[in-house]
Amino acid sequence: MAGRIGVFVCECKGQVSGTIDVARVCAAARALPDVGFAEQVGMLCGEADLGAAVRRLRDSGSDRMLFAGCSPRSSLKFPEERIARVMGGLGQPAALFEVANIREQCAWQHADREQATRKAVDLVRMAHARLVTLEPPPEPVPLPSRALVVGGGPAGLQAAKDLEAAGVEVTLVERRPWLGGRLCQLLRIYQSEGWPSVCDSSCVGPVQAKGVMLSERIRAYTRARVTAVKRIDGRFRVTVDASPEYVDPGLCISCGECARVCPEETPRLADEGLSRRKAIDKEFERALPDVYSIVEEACTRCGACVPACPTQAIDLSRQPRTFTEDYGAVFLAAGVEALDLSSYPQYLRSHPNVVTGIEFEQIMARGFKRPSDGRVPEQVVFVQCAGSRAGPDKEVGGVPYCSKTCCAVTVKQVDRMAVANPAIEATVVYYRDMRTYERALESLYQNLRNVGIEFVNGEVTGIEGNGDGRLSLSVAPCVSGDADEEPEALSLEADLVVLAAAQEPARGSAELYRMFGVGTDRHGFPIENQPRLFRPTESLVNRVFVVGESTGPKAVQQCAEQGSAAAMRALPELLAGRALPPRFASRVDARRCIKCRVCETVCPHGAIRITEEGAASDPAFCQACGLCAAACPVHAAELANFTDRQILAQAKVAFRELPAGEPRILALLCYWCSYSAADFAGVERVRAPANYRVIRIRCSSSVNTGLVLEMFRLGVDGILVAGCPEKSCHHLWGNFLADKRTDLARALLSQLGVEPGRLRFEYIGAPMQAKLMTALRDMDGKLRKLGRNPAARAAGGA
Amino acid sequence: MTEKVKIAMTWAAACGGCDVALLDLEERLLDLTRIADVVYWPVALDFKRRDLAALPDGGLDIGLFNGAVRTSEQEEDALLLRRKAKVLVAFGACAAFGGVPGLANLSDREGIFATAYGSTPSTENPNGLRPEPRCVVNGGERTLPEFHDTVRSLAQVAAVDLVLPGCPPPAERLIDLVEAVARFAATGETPPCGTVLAHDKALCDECPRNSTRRGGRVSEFRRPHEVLADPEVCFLEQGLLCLGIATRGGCGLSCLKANMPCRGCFGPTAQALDPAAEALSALGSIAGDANENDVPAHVMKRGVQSIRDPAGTFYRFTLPSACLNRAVRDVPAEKSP
Ligand SMILES: Cc1cc2nc3c(=O)[nH]c(=O)nc-3n(C[C@H](O)[C@H](O)[C@H](O)COP(=O)(O)OP(=O)(O)OC[C@H]3O[C@@H](n4cnc5c(N)ncnc54)[C@H](O)[C@@H]3O)c2cc1C
Ligand code: SF4
Repeated sequence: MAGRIGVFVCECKGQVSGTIDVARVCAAARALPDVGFAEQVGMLCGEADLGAAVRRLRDSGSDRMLFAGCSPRSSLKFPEERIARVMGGLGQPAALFEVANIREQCAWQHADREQATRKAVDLVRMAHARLVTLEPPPEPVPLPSRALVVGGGPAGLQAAKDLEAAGVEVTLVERRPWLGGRLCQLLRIYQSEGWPSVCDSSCVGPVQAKGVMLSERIRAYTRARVTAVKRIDGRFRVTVDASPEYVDPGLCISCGECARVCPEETPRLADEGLSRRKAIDKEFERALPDVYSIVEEACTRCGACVPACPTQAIDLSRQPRTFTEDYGAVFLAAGVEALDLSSYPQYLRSHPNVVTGIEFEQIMARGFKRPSDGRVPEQVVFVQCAGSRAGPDKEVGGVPYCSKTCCAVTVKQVDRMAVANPAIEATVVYYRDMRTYERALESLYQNLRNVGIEFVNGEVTGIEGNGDGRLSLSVAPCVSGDADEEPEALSLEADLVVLAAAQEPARGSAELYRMFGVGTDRHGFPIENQPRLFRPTESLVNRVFVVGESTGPKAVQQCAEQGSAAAMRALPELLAGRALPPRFASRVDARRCIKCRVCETVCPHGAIRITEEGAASDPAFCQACGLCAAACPVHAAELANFTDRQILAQAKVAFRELPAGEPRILALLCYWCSYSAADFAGVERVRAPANYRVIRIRCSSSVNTGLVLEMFRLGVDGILVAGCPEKSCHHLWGNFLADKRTDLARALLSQLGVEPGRLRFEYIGAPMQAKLMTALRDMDGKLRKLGRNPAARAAGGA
Repeated sequence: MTEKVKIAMTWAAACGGCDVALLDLEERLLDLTRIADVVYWPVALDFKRRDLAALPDGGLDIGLFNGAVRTSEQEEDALLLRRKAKVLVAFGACAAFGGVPGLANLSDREGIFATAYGSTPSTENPNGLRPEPRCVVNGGERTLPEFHDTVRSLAQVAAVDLVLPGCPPPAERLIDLVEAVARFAATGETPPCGTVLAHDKALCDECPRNSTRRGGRVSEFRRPHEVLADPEVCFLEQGLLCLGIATRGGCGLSCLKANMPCRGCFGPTAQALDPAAEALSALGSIAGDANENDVPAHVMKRGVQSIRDPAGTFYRFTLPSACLNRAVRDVPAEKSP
């Protein structure tokens, strides 16, 4: 590869050359192996210089470029993305460049020309050490242009429709007998922004579902579920079990003759069991698909329905359908479900007249008849935060979070009730505050107050039945900071109680998320990729999107937005039919792998699969954090372009120019946050000790303890490892793992008599340059007192 | 085969277990004597060092050295054996990596003497006597081997041809050794310098419990006496710290069969940068529940804090061959020696 590297050292029109002797840096670069030329340029980001540079690279037949100048990460004019484009235009593999960050992390931080120049030379050497071993980026991985949607509520339907409109084939799997999800169980649906208004589910439900049913590119399966998932070569090999098609959808005319003769009954799902349906029946009139369905557990196979059907649509011998297919992307839209409040006896869930919000929607649909005796109640009490916002100040337990939609839902329900049946009195007991944050709902809420609906602040701590279907509620005052006003406990009477039940992940969804490798938080909601701000709906696994209420309660409109957004995010890869693995993709050497599964355990992105031969990393799922590589006890896992050898090669040359006696501080800064912090220190012209060098690592947890010890042996005096701030790691827990391992390594070092201050871990976000500088200065001060690192002394290191 | 192979075994800082291991070959030891003459084995047969010294340099075919090198005498023995032997074998974990005696590198001569001749409860030493390399007794000078500050592995003293790990080496590997001797006897072929008579992969790979490994984190590591271990299930799954993930296989699984986790006597695999660091990285990564984002820092670190005594745990057999092979005193430069 002789002489194929072209080096450009940028003066940045004085920004660099004002502090650094650029000619000397060039001369040093020229002396490095395989360097064909090293040239000084005025401003490489300018069209003139860039054009000339491109010509120079092309004419000289260079296949690699080393750029010394502004930060690849933070430069606003010439960041790595732009360099990659330029290299791409050259017809060279775009990955084959390296940047020596001699502006932000050198010229802008150090005042002394000699020191800064020496550091710049070292930075060029470090970049060169990586550059000579860079591999071309991996090949694209072909993907099927087919998507799987699990859950047929508003979010799933929206995703399916948007995908199909763009030309993608979609399979939709819904476990209940109808499409439309919970939306179909609501009477009226509030619209949250703008002015208060409602939609009707018997209208919009079928409208949404129809789009799916009529599309040729969407195959929808109801009463179906996902039973197995394999992640292979970037795709999802999914097995779906759909219950038997006893009633032929092509023949069924929904006349209901079968249900009329069917002798078996079972609770109706659509109204949460408030009424009963036949074993063969339709859940509700307007349900789609427009087919009668059989509830397996209720059917006795008596066969009465078969001859009753005028179109001979029923065949009781039909078998379950199972199929396995590959998908390029997956949309999980399983929604939420009400927390089972029967474990909180205070709420008397066993009483027929204590219902949840979703049940009340059905009661509204039936003229407000209360379940115990079908009488219209005189007094309905709505209980907010039933099982939500549990905490030390709340008497009845539950989940600690706010379920977000229930205040708005209650306001809607009270309003509908007031309109439809003004004779019924409504009281709302709310815990601490009403949270109708949407414009339409807040104005509705104010209206209700104005017309005299009673809103009581307090916590319902007990409900008792008084016989005759009546109930009394004990309401404890909410603890308030206002000492003047002594709030009193009170008691309310009701003949129907509506619990705004907390919402938790849909039952069975834990297994669903597990199958797809999607991590969940402590409440069981799937975790979105970091930074969540800009990657909503992206789970931690590539091409698995989590949409709608599956990630937390939302209004219908937001669920639809998420379905659309996720479809949009997925389309580029689905339409291109390929995924581009990262250039740092991990790989596992099966000859070394011992199947200890440590890599699988630490991988936050579901990229590791255990096979007969050993662990296998799937480049199309890999997000190149390097957690596997650092944790692998036999170095079977490694990242392409970020191997132990490459890191050590950088460490070896990092301090060549540092005068003897100066402490050698190596900062291993994570790719995004901490590396940016070092840049920002330069941007703010913070003066830093000139004896530190940065290796831009992947996640802070991408460097293993062996490398750290080896660096000490090589003569580094102090090592700072830094990662994203707590709870903000791009790789879920990488920063925590690095912190923990560093603790363990420090304990080991101190047993060996090495001052633990020589190794430290810090959580440093991009704007936390002050913290970074404090850590570096602090280390510098300490190391000056401590002197040479004894590991190097003991090993006779240089 | 024309002539019998000449073989010698000597011991240094060791417990004697390696010599016993050789005897444990039982009748198979006779296979060895069929092809080899034992010309020196002070533990078992009445030889003196001068018998070894009397051989011409290179006159011995196989030299087996067990034990770490701690004293000047052991160092001399090592160099002597190296000179005489065509093939020098680091026999057992102590010779191979420093072994358990190598943990003495966490202290130094002064520290060890102060304890052994001063502060142990059973020490009765009113005059504060210490072993001296030289002393005059009744007008005559007596010498003792010098006690080094640092324990070393054999390879740190002399070039080693064959490494036979284990504490002690198990019969299976001794048979490999006998085969290597036989091959040498038949062909004169010596293995490449530093060849390790063990498997290339780590123990986990051949562990019968491997299939029970589910992945997942280890909330807290517990010590073997705190747990009634299931004899079939991966120790990591049971919260027991097992070094099988980073230790060469080929030991015959004797600890695992006795329901004890691997302690690392077969030493690191060829890829290891440091004999402790790899296991530390792996176990440090899976220690603690996978809920870091939801718990306070002290809870987050509980798992990793349950790994006590990292040096003793991870360097149990290997400290002298580590990146930093002994405790140092990291004190201000001007004060350090
Ligand atoms: C009482 C009440 C009243 C409400 N009123 C309003 C309102 O007026 N306006 C408004 O905007 N919002 C309202 N909402 C919120 C609204 O219901 C949700 O926003 C919406 O239904 C969520 O859509 P989704 O697609 O995310 O989930 P869902 O509608 O819950 O759909 C999820 C679907 O996934 C299916 N599923 C679950 N798990 C699996 C699995 N493992 N395999 C296959 N399928 C599975 C379910 O059967 C379901 O059909 C109300 C909610 C409640 C509880
Ligand atoms: S939305 Fe309202 S009722 Fe629901 S949990 Fe939040 S505060 Fe409580």
